[in-house]
Amino acid sequence: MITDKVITQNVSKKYLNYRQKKKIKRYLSLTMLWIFIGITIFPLIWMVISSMSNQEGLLTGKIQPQLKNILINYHDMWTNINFGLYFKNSLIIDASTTIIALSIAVLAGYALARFKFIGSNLFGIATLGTQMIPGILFLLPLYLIFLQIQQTLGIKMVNTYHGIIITYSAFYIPFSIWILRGFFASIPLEIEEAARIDGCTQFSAFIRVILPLAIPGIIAAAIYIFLMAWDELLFAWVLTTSADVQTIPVGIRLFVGNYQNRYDLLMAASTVVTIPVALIFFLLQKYFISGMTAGAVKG
Amino acid sequence: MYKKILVVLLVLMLALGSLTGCGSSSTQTNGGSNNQSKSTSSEKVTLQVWIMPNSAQSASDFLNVVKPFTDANQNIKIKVTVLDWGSAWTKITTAATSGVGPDVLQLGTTWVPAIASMGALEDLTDKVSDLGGASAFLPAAWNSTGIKDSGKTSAVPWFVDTRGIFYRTDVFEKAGIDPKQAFATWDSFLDAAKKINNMDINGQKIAAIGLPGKNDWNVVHNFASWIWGAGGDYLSPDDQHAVFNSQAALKGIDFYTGLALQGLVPKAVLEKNSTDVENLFAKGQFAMIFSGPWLVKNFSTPADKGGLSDTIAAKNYAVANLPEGPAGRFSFFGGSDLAIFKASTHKTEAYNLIKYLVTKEAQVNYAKVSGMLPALKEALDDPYITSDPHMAVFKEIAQYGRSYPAVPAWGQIENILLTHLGNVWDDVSGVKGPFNENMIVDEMNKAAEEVDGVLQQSK
Amino acid sequence: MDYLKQNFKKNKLAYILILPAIVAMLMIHFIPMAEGLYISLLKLNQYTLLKFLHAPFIGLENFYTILFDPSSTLRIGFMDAVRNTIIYTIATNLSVLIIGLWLAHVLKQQFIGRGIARTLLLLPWVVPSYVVGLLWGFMWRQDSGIINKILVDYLHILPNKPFWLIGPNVIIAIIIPTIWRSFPMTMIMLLAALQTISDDYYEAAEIDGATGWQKLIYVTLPFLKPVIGTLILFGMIGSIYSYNIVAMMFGNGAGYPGDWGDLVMTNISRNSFNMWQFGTGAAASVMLMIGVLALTGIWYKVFKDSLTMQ
Repeated sequence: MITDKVITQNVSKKYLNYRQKKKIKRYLSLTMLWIFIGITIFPLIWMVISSMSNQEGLLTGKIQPQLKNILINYHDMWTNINFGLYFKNSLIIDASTTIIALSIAVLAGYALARFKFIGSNLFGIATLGTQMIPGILFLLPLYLIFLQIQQTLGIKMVNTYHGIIITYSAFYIPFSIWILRGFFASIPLEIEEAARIDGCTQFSAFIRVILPLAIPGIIAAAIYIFLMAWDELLFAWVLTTSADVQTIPVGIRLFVGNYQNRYDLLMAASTVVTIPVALIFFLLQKYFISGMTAGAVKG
Repeated sequence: MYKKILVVLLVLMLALGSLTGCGSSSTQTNGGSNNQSKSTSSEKVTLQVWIMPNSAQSASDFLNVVKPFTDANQNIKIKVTVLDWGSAWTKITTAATSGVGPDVLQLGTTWVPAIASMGALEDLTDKVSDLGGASAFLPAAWNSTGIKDSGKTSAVPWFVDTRGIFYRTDVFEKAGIDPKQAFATWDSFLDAAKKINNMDINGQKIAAIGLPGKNDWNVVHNFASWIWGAGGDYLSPDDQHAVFNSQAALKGIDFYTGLALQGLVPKAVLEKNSTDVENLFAKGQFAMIFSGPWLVKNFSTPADKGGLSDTIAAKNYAVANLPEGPAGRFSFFGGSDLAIFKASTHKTEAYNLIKYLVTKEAQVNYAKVSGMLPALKEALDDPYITSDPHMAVFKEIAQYGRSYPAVPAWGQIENILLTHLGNVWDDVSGVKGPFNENMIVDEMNKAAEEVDGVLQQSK
Repeated sequence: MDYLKQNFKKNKLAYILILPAIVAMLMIHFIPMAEGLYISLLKLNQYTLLKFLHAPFIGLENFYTILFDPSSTLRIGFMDAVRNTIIYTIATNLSVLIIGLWLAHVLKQQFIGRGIARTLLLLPWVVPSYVVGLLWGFMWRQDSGIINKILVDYLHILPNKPFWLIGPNVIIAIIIPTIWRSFPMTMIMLLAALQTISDDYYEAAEIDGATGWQKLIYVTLPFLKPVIGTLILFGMIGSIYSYNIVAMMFGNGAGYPGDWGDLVMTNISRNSFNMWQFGTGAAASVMLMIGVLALTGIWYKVFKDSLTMQ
């Protein structure tokens, strides 16, 4: 009798202990999480604070953000260098790249997911293979090929929008194919077959039935392409010569250089260029995550 | 149907293949299509000009300076492209490779021999006599206009970049130091710096000297005056060997790095670049820095135009020549030249533009906007320079100018020096353990070995 | 032959669909790459640049120079860069995986503010990498940078302010921003994969008396293997070919990040475009590519099973 009671007491004690332990553990891990979040977003907060400071404060490290500096810095960054032009160029180039690369990748991704054709393996490997070529290996040859096109065909390629757009499109097609292939593969074949029984050709079934279902994957690929193009530096640097077509990463260097060190304007500009990508990303986050992971999880 | 696709694919591949195939062979015949233009004065001509960011509004400043030229030649339109120094190498290299480039381009003085050796620049030897030839320009600037000893001129000096000492007059006064005496020799300079270091100025400790370390654009230039001043040099007289690891050259390097090692330069500054150093000097952190004429211009420009005229240093400064070293007094001469691209289709107009840019009027006007020194001797006599006490010092400094050896391999040599002098600054900052003199010797020996290899290759 | 014919006919649409992608990849990737491979066999430098593909053919000399020639100007710096790239690749990928796994594990639970937490954690990923380089370069400054201020002045973790942008610490100064920018992607992929694991497996493991670590090793990781495999492959390639952050942090791409900050990509781009050693630069790129291909081969061996499993 007595021993029985002791045992049940012990058990309940143990059980409570276990519950408590779990609770403590949970609080601990959540606290660590929020500390980590604090550290993670600190650099961005610092970027915004710095953009509200003046040049002298940034130079000496005595940073005092002031509201009036917001007006000054976020105004001067457009006039000190012609930042609006770089911004416009980046938008035009990246938007066009996204549309072109996406259209091509959607077609190829669908082909890879649905057809078992001769050479499909080779094509798949070649697609992944492009990711293993270091850009620097073909930077100079590509530049020269562009110049040769200009000389032989009379189509100007270097220092033009379409030159960079073609380059970027080709860069980001392979990985987009890979994302989209995974997504198309995750759409049950039965849906497509049902559409074909209803009288659709394979192509129209693809357009009318499969594409709408694949929208999350398409958005994921679009965001991927846009973010990558927004980020590209090396080729933009070499393939352009005049500010008329240069993108933000090339232009933003001018804030800090031989002639001036305007960290205040640099930080304001950095904040401004981060906002559009952040907006696009967070508006479409849901699709992006499901699209990206469909590709990865389904292999 | 599949046949059609195959055919299309094959045709496409062949087309692409042949495109690159024939294209690559046509690269050497650059400018092959130039003959079509036999420009007459009435024909509309657009001159493509590549310049560097020489001033705040580089493109419009340039266009303003050449306005009298474009007014006089209504048929000529000028399109300016501003390259940044970082990518300029790449752009000019690739332009030289392809023959698709500007008509007129600005070249850093040290780049001229290399680009000339590629055969990318128009030979100006026969034309330059009507500019007054070598005697019209500062000799050290003229040295950079062609490959050394080749007897050829590939470029025309545009402006000169040189260095002097900017010092705080109020600090020197408070310390009771006579600037003239302080900047007489290396020893007196060192004594003055030691006396000033950590002095109390307006309730703040001031460091004697500010100078940038490794993370700068001018790492190699910063050492030049001291290496020459100690009697050292970069290359042997026949340009076959590196000699910057000689006893004399090492003495110069030791003196310059010694300023930091003796605590006359705050260690934190060694991480910064020269623009930072200038700004910190303006804000009163150092008593002396080494800088060029552009800072004079900056010190007279108001803050709302991006200048530093409100700062403490702007109100209390003077310029002095560098102190005389054991082997004499030398000031580093850099700057830029103007050249015509061989592939240019408008060489006559391009040359006329250059000719205008080296007239006294244009030289003075461009010096005003860029803050550099004119390369034309006559322009140095302009009141803009002679009536400004600070600029007048730079005119005097210009008499001591010396430039790097004009060899085609200099671009590579400078990059090797950049790496190893960068490592020297690492050693001096103490980030790799305690410093000893042998570290510098080691680095310079390594650099010399590499430079010898490069010179070997260029034979 | 008949089979081939039939296959082509049946998959006519597929070939039409992949044609544009093939053209794009040929034109921008493979033909220039073939030229790059050829250049690696040429003595292409500033003296022969105008001849381009007709520069003297020297076989494998460029490769020999980089690998074995002790007096070569390129070899010394290149070996430093290789060492740095190895450290950089291992350190960033390992840290990113561990951080990502931990965050995914925490975010899998229900708690108040979970959505906000996830959004905030994703923020670094949308910051362009050139901004990452500029921003962190600014924060790493020795006397005025905020990082030293926090470490030394506020938290007193370090006795005096270290240099981050010169000397051996540079490698830390480039690794940490890279981790900062890459962990969100890893986290979100792992989180999505974690959510597909049924709780039944964990309950079963708990009944068997498994500890937290055992559950991680025997239940979680095997399930995540395909995702981790993908992340490792692309993370690896990304770090080996990393350029933007280092280039923007040091001298706007023109400077020398020092013998502890130079990565293979910045090294090659400097040798190619600042020293005009295009032949040796191309040879170095080719070796880099061979290295990446070899690593991919090893990767394939390790993750083959989990890839075919799906």
